[in-house]
Amino acid sequence: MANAAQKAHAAPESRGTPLIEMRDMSIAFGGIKAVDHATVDLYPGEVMGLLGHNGAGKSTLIKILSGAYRRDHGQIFINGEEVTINNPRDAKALGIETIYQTLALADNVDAAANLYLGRELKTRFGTLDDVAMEAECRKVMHRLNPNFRRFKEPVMKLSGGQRQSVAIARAIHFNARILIMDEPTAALGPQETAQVGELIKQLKAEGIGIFLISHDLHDVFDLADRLAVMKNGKVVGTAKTSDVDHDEVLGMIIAGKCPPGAIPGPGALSMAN
Amino acid sequence: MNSYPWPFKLIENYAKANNVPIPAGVENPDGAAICMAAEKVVRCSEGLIYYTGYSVPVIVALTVGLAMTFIATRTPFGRYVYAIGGNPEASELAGIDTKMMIVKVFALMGALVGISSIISSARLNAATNALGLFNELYVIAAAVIGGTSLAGGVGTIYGAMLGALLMQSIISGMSLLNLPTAYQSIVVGVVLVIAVWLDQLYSRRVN
Ligand SMILES: Nc1ncnc2c1ncn2[C@@H]1O[C@H](COP(=O)(O)OP(=O)(O)OP(=O)(O)O)[C@@H](O)[C@H]1O
Ligand SMILES: [Mg+2]
Repeated sequence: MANAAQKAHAAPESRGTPLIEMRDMSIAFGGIKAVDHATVDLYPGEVMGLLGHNGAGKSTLIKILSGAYRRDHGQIFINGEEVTINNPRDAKALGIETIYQTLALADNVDAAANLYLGRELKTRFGTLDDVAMEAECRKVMHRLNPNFRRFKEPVMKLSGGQRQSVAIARAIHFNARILIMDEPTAALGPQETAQVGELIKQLKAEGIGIFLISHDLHDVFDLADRLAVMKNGKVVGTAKTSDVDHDEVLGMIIAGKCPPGAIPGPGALSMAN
Repeated sequence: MNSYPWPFKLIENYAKANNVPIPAGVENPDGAAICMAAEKVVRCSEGLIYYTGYSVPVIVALTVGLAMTFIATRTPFGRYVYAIGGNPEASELAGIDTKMMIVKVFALMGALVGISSIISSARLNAATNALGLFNELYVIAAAVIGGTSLAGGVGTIYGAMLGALLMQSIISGMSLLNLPTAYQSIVVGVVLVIAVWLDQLYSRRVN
């Protein structure tokens, strides 16, 4: 990660209204409380790392924000105003773009079709403008994965990392205000991962708020301004990355122990017992 | 279109029966006169050619085929149909109103069935409530033979039309062979099963 200067560009000290505030979110699948009264917020130009064990409820929490799931309980505020997000279209209309852990690509169509799925470029006759879409797709893919050539293939035939690049391209291409990245680099090679890191710093500098879900502590410490740890659907605590160290965060993830530098949530060990 | 020259022997018999002078044919390139034979129009350039006229259902089928190909490949609607067939959850997450799309697809199918039922009832000059019963089996077989995947997201209009041609050839051929209806149904069923089996085999190979 070359650009150390940008790391100094942390979230503004004077906290105004958060870009996003998810207050007291709950959702249950049958008997499983996947997310249990979780509260997280995100400021403009900030990267918020979301950490937690497998099945902690990270993906479920952000899927509520992206409109994939309907919450059972809780409120979502954008710039202090309550919003209703009932489906992915609502979220997109609010400028929320998501890279899903499962990528959520239509496997049988090509990269450009996936990039523009749901908001195709059209000619003046209202038909698909495939030429323009492919040209744009080449541009944005070049930024993420310069080795990518297979524009005509259905994405089913692409490698895992190439598919992930397509999913990232789709999220960053439409001037999002809020970007949700659910393990965006899980399948990427070192060069592509570094490129996504650079991209996150660029987007952050543009004032976009980013939720970054990752199991890689180094990535989170490198990219995130704050982090929130979840355990069994509950938020263990939130902390500035500068106020905690690796071991403390590991303790939060594994044992649910909230260190002094962090603000404890309902899932913190002392409160849980 | 459906207008083709009659087979040579047939036209000869026809000409004899109707007292049409048989022109010199290819040896007589200037003989492109139009002869009147009985009430039918007969052209006699390269031998006798009897035009049977245009078959409206064929024209309708080709028009519908072209229109549907346009819709499937050139419009956002068609793109969404393929995308939903490939991965419905992803399409929903991408912001497509999949429920509405499915309603629209059913409506479109209803319209197409309407066209085909107009043709059917016009052809029979009668309509019953059972008109087109069991056609759904032929339609599915035709689509699958034409390369449409039962798993969804793959297929073309012209493929389905070629499949329909093949299915209809088999059915008409069996009728011409005087095969009992029961056996015809068996053959259609077997063709359908083979098509589905090949489809499964193919999609397993792809994944
Ligand atoms: N659609 C669903 N139906 C039923 N249960 C679900 C569903 N989605 C998630 N869950 C359950 O909710 C819990 C939280 O899952 P979630 O995917 O949010 O975990 P995660 O924190 O993203 O984990 P990972 O790090 O493995 O991605 C799990 O116990 C999971 O089994
Ligand atoms: Mg997850």
